[in-house]
Amino acid sequence: MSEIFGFFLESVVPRNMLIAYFLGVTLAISETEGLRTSLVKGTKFSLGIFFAAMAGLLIADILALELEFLVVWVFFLTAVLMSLILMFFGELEGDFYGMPKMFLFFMPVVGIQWIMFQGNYDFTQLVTGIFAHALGYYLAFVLIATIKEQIKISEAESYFKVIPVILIGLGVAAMAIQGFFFLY
Amino acid sequence: MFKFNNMVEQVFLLGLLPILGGSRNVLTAVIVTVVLVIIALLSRLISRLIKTEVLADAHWIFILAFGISLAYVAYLATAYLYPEVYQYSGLYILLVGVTPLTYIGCKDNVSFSNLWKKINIFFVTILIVAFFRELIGFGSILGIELLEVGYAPLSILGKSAGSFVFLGSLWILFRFLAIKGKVNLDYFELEGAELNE
Repeated sequence: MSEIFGFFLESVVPRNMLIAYFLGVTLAISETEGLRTSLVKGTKFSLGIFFAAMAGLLIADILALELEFLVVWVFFLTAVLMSLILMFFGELEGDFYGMPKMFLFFMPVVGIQWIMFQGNYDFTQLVTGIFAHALGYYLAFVLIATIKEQIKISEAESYFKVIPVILIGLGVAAMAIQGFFFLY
Repeated sequence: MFKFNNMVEQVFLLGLLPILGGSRNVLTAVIVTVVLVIIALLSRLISRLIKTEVLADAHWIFILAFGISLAYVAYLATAYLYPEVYQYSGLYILLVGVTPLTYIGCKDNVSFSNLWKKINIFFVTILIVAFFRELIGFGSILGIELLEVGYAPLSILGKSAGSFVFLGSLWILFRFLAIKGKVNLDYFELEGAELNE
């Protein structure tokens, strides 16, 4: 297994941005409905994360060393810009428990940018890593949609439905994927 | 069917990221809460000073930019004061600056007492999750080792799996007690604009 392919697999599964770093859990919980609609929504959000992270990290890369303290603002502004683009395409509209839904998109974007920024990766690793994290997010998004759909039609007690069981399901998934760490 | 639409669920959902990420141990939980309280109070103050009607919805961007700058300062301060907390949970201290719960007090229809109640719910929740995660996942409390030599903690629960499982279990317990009437839900009622129907 080549080094870059190993890095790709590591970013998709054991270091999955949703399951290992909790980034975008609230977004996935609030935006998933049926499995079929989530396939499209998940694609939009994953592409949004990919392009926002790429843009933010490329801008951060050209910043002079003495301006490095501005990277957080760069990451934040790219997240804002991408959330506005997603709003243009009909996503992230309305409120979630009294707060604008665009807030939910900032956490995964700023988080993944910061993780990649801290890694000091070269360009190839950067593109591979961001793509792998976006792909991992998509898989986790679809996983949450699947759990949600199954829980809704199950005969479980009402206090299990829906979010607590999603969290415990993600916990079990986290235990399973962290078992792959021995490969690295 | 029983409707679970109350302040506790609101805090769990809006503060999900810091609760899950900042509950690695009790010390981290306390630091994350302190950062959240400072940013929440200062951003509330700023939101009362700026004219939101002039900026329309853009006032959120302005307040968030202020909040994330404060979170970055807190992140750097943590790196200096608590290097172990910074090493494992620094990211979540930074992300407090973009957490929706931090800015709930900036809304006009949220009173200060309401905000304080939400912060207390957050603190109690993150503390409970952190306590169990540190106890079962690392076999210690506040860094004091409780397990004798030769006994290993259940380390998988000290990682992300532990956060998910303990918060999910706490959530189910709260709902179970609410259904049984052991928790007075009137105390945790949401205000009109916060309902998530």
